[in-house]
Amino acid sequence: MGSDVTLAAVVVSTIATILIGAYGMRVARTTSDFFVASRSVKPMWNASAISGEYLSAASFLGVAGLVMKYGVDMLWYPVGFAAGYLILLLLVAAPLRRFGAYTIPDFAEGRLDSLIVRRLATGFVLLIGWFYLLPQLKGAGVTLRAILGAPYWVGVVGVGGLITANVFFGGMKGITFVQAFQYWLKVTAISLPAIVLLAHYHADHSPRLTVPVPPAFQTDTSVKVRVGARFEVDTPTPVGITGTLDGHRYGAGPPAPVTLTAGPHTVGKGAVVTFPAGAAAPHAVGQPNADGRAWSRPFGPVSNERSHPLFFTYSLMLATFLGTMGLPHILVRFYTNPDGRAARQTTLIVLVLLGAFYVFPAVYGALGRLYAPDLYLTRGTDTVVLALPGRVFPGLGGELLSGLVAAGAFAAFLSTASGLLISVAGALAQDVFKGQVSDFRRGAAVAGTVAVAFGLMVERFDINLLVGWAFAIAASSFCPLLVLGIWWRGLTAAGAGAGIAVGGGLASAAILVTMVTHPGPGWGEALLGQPAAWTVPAAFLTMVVVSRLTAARLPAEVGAKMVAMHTPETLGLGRNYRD
Amino acid sequence: MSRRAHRRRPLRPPRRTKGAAAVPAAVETGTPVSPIDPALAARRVAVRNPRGRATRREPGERALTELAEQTEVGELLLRSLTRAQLMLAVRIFAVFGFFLLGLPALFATHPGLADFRILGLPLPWLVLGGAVYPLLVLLGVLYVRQAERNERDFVEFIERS
Repeated sequence: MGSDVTLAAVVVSTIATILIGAYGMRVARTTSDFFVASRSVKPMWNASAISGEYLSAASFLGVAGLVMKYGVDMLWYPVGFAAGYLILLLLVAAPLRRFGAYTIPDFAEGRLDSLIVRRLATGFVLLIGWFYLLPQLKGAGVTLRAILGAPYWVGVVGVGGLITANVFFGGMKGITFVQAFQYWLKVTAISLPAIVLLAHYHADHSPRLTVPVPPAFQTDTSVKVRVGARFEVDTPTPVGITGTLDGHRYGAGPPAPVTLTAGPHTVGKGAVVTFPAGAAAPHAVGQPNADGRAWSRPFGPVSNERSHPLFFTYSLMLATFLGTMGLPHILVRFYTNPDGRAARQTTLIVLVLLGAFYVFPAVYGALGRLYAPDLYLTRGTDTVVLALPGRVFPGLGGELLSGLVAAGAFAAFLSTASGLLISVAGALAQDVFKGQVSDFRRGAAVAGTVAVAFGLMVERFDINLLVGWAFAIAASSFCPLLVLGIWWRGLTAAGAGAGIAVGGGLASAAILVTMVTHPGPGWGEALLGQPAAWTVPAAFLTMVVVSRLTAARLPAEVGAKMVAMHTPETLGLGRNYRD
Repeated sequence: MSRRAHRRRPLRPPRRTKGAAAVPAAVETGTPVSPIDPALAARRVAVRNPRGRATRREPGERALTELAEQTEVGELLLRSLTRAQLMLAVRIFAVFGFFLLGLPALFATHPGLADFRILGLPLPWLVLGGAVYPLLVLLGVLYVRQAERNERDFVEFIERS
């Protein structure tokens, strides 16, 4: 890490992003260009753009880190991220495109004729958008620290400022090209090093990862501790040390030989600990140190870490399966399809593109256990994708591969954060300001500033946890609105509003309580920490019951709207409910 | 915009059906509202683009008119389509749910499954790390093919009648 090649790769990736955005800027002229990229985007481009926008820091870095830490159970994250598009395809893609609205608040207002529901929807777009922006900026802060050794705020402010400027000047036409480019960059950056790493693993006689021993150092390894760390040792281990260990300062010069006793130890900032080949890797205090057998089996270390892991898994599945359709930056892309058929084709291609990507993060997670076990000690598992190529291949080859993954990681924050920022800026421009191009720019500036301000405060929260929460809120608020709005004539404005408020409100409250109070083990922790399993049914139930109670006040022209959403364009019965 | 866009708005005001609000077409299309109940005129009404107004309806398009005007027949026609599409979605989801939603419970109750290896990979890794994705694509392809077939059948039926 910290090599010039890596830095160069990040700079090149960023400049390419800006250049492609600038090219798009020349194309973008009218207000409509800015908001929906003129609805002239081909399915392949559009699918690449959707995937590019979707594959965030959580997918690029977080999944591999979690797999390294907790094992096979964490693969439910990527499975859920991809499966969400199947549900979106089945229930939402074509009808929503045919309806012709291009944001969720537009859909809410057009379908239900209610300004109040529109405002409520806008509120949740802002909440989900900002919530999802935080982990992206956090990823940027951590990555820049890993690459350059820069303080956390440099990445947050730098990347936040960059995307705000790009959206401010480029609008969405630019972003469509940028996002499509980002997908291909990301999939190359994750797959190529993974394949090389697998070849190395094979040449290394494929050591078994599933044997019941803790992760161990393959060779004599010096671990430089950037920030102080507390770690635990299970069996006495002879090490060499320079710097501070357990309050005792060992001078510079040759490493002092020390035997670490079983139990917790503290190393100071800047210390270097040298482990002999074959020594078991210590683990951070409070983190599991599963042997390979437990790590490789379902409900292994996760069971010790969480109350009711089976409930957690199902609740996470529900959040990701149903939350995808409610993510504000994703839905807006479906309106850039020319018609409902193209929307379906696009979704199908997205499933292929995401599947192709999600095969690879697990490779880093698994091989990280073998080749970078020091990341357990330094709580650095989130950076395993960035670290692994350099560990396995010292020299220029490793530097080039490290540069590639760093460029991919950068692409991940840039693209997802840009997409989110556009949605938040659009919602602000349309509902808080007046809806002109200049208001969109004002929205972008405000949205970016708020995101950066809060991004500076979330350093201590895990990336995937934050992302999982954004999905849970989306699944509990917008999923019922979309599904019932598209398939059920009986939905009323009062029902929809009540459902969004109850489902989204309960999910947000549960997450807030978890973030602030950290409830102890038990059902409380399980239910609040991953609330989708009960907040999604609560939202659906509220919508249906309140709609039934207010059945006398059905929105105008329900029949015509159903016709518009469900009949193919060739019949010419559709109309845009907002254009 | 489809080449038949001019048919979108029929000349006659649409017949009312249950659920549709009592807003005359004249208000909707932006023509003067004076002869109408002043209470209605005062109500906030969405003004729609009048471009799509048809001047003359071609003969032999009864079903299309029924749909456009949401008569009872039109509503039944539409319901047949939405029901077919929803049932298709439910069927595909049932297959998806059977595999995916069953897996955590299966893994939790049968930990021995982790000892099965295919191509050197333990079964849970193979399934969650790779095999799931082709299944998702396959289900997606099946859905899109059948959904488009449903729509083609619907269009053919409408155009025949």
